[in-house]
Amino acid sequence: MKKQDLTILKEAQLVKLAVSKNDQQAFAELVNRHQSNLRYSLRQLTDWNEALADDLAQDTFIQAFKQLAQFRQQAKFSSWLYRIGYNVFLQHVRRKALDTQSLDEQPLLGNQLEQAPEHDDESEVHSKVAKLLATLEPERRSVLHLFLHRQNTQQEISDIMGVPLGSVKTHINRGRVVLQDGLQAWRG
Amino acid sequence: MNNDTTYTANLDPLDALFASARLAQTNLTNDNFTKMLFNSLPTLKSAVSKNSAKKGLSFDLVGAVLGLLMAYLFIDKSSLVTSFVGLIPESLVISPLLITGIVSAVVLSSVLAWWAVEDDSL
Repeated sequence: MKKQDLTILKEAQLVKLAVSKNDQQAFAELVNRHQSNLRYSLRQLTDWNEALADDLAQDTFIQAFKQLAQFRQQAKFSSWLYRIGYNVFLQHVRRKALDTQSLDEQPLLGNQLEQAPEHDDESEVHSKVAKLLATLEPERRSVLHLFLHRQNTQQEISDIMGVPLGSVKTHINRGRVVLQDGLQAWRG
Repeated sequence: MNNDTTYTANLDPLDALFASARLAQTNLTNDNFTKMLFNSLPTLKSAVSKNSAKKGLSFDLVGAVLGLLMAYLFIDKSSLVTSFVGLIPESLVISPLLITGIVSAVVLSSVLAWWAVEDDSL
């Protein structure tokens, strides 16, 4: 199938092609459609560390490729992909926590991820949001990102992340307070 | 003042900040990203094949165990042996028709094997 034809196909059809025919072009089309949003979300989760976020996004797509046969056609591909990305991010945080503990016996806090590189003016608002989110623990950070940035409903967040609805509501209520305090502190 | 700024001005400062980020989000170019990802895809292909092979092998093993168990429970072993012995011909006449049949079977199975590999759908 020609590359131009793939751009008009629905995601379910692309997944089917990639799985049954091992069609890398079909998978490439899925990557093209979703790489930007996934990388942006991972940058928000990693305190706008672009290199780290891109590494995690690579791992996410590799995992997605391996698990593509398990994708349920009823689900949204972007939600399925985000969940894999979130799990990859959590694995990174846990690995990082173990490394940190082995070095100085201190557990990793939500805001102890690697430092973001220097930013230009255009990305200032993005890095500001990421800096705020970095003050939250990873699960809460992801919930607040999906709620405030992606504007997902609480039920959607619960489905995407596999977290009970009650926990999502708690994360949103408590997370908002922390973020508002952080924002106020910045404004002095 | 455009619609976007009016929209963010009416929001709580936190919501306004996230709204600004959402409005400022642009598509990230994927040149090197996709290239780097697809450099690792050949190994992925083999990993996926290995996974399928493992699954296939485990199904084969389960089938073999179940088959042996059924055979052990339901088949009379002494009659099975005599039936097998009875299947062996006492004499074999190699005729032109037999040779043609064997050659045809070999050619047909070779063509089927080639088609299965080329088609990649089995």
